[in-house]
Amino acid sequence: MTTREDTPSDIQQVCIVTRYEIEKHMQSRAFIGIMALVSLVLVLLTVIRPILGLDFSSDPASFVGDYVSWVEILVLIGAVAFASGALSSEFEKRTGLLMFPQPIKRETYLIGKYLSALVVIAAALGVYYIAVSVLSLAITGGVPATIMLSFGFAMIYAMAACAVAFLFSSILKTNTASIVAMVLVFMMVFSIVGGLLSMSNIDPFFMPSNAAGVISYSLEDPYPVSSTTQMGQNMSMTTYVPSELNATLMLLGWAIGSLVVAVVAFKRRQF
Amino acid sequence: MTHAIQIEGLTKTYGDFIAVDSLSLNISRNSFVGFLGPNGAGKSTTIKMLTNLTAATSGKAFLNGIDVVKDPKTALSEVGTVVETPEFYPYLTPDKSLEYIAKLRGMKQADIPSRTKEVLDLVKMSHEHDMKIGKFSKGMKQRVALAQALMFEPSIIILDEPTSGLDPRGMVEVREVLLDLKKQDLTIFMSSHLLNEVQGLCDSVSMMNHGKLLLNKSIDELKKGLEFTRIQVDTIKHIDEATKIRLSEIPGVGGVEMSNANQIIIEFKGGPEDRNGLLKTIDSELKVTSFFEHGNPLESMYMGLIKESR
Repeated sequence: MTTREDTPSDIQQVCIVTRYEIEKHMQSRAFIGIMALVSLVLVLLTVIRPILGLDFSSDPASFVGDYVSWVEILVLIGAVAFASGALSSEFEKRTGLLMFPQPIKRETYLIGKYLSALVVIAAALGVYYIAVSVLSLAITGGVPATIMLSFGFAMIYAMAACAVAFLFSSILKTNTASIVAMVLVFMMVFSIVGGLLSMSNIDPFFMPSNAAGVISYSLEDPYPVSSTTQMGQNMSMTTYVPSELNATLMLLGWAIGSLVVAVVAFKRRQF
Repeated sequence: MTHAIQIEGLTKTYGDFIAVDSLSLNISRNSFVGFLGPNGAGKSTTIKMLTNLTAATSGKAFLNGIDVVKDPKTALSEVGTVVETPEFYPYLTPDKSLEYIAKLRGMKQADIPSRTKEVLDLVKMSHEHDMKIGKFSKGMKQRVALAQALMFEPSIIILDEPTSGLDPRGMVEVREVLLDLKKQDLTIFMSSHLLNEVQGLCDSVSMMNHGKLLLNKSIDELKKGLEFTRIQVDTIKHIDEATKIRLSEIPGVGGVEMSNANQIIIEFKGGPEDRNGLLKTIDSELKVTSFFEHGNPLESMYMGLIKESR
């Protein structure tokens, strides 16, 4: 018989939840799907260019940059697949009836689930970055040292995207609603607002989609700076490039802020 | 604290609607208590408040002396639950799901495989131990749910309609498991709509309606409290109106209903000696082939109380 003294600490329970949630994700169709998508992007980018008679860049950073430009979308798909339904499904699919009466705090459970989503996305991105490195080595004869930095920024973006997905998942009733909200906000709202702000020459530094540019910018040497393009007589558009520090702080801000709201909403949510 | 479960003024409101209204109830250790009430009475809401699925609006609920409203993690550490029909993660097997829950509760790794086998044997799911739960029927999932509640040998088990959704065979098997558990050093608090099930399994009954507790008594007390028991009598000789009137005049008989020419239902008040006397009287006149208590005394009590509380 287990007694109250045997119940693991909150930190131990976070590790237990993370471990079993990773196992659950690894056996899910979503994981097979994202690995298939990673493979598809790699194959298409590697095969189509020679078919169209286009040469690969001989510069490793530029070569890797072509592949890394797809990372932002892969992160978003990962967040939708592994984080959007993480909390809402506990209510919609009634697994919460099994898990919530266990001696575990809801916040502990949420953090374990969040970490597991990050680990699974890291695994998929890790495979992608390793494959890109191997291709770069084989085709250009080198791998840019900054590729690790780009991977690091991709993971910080994943932290923000997953946290926002958890926020939607904690307040919306169904997985579908949560997924739709995530896709709408990241693919439409952020893009439209970011574009309009740039056209108005206002720095959209607070937008996660703008900060996510750091994933590709970090490969470039020297690091790019913001630039303004004249569009007609009275109109100009500025491409705002966030500094690495600002982008990191902004993405971490989104991650922490969204997670805090998600924890509060998840704790208050009832069957 | 002598009670395994102690509820003090527990209240749950949804806007103006009061789902549970200042409920106070004590459940003694090592008792098997049936929790009854019609749909919407507040049973499930009470159980959900006891199991950290719903927050109480006010009041206290102690499990083994610890307030589950304030400290659910500690309060639920020795409590096994099956609330409604919980779902499992479809990609995990029963072995893996039970291991997950056992780890969350702090069971030692060395004990997990043998205990998993034990509880899956108990709920007759050992053959499916390594199959993905996503492929299971509702009944199979319910049995695995019962297995997870027993996995860590809890001191309290809270069950909400544990046989709901099971086929007749599944119901019998779950009842057998519950009867086995009754022999152990356990407190079981079980809500059910099935009065026969409650009467067959439970030592006592708590009944609620409109969020209020109507009754909290042992099954024996309930039986004693009933004024009349209904006895079905089958006879060889045909029963006519004159015999029926004669039978209704026997002391202790409250009424006689004829089901058919060879069967009557007698409402009778009296102890075993009186009942034996009644049997002898009817047998001498009509030749009795069977004589037994008809229907469920709990049902009569239930219907009476629910009607009164409308």
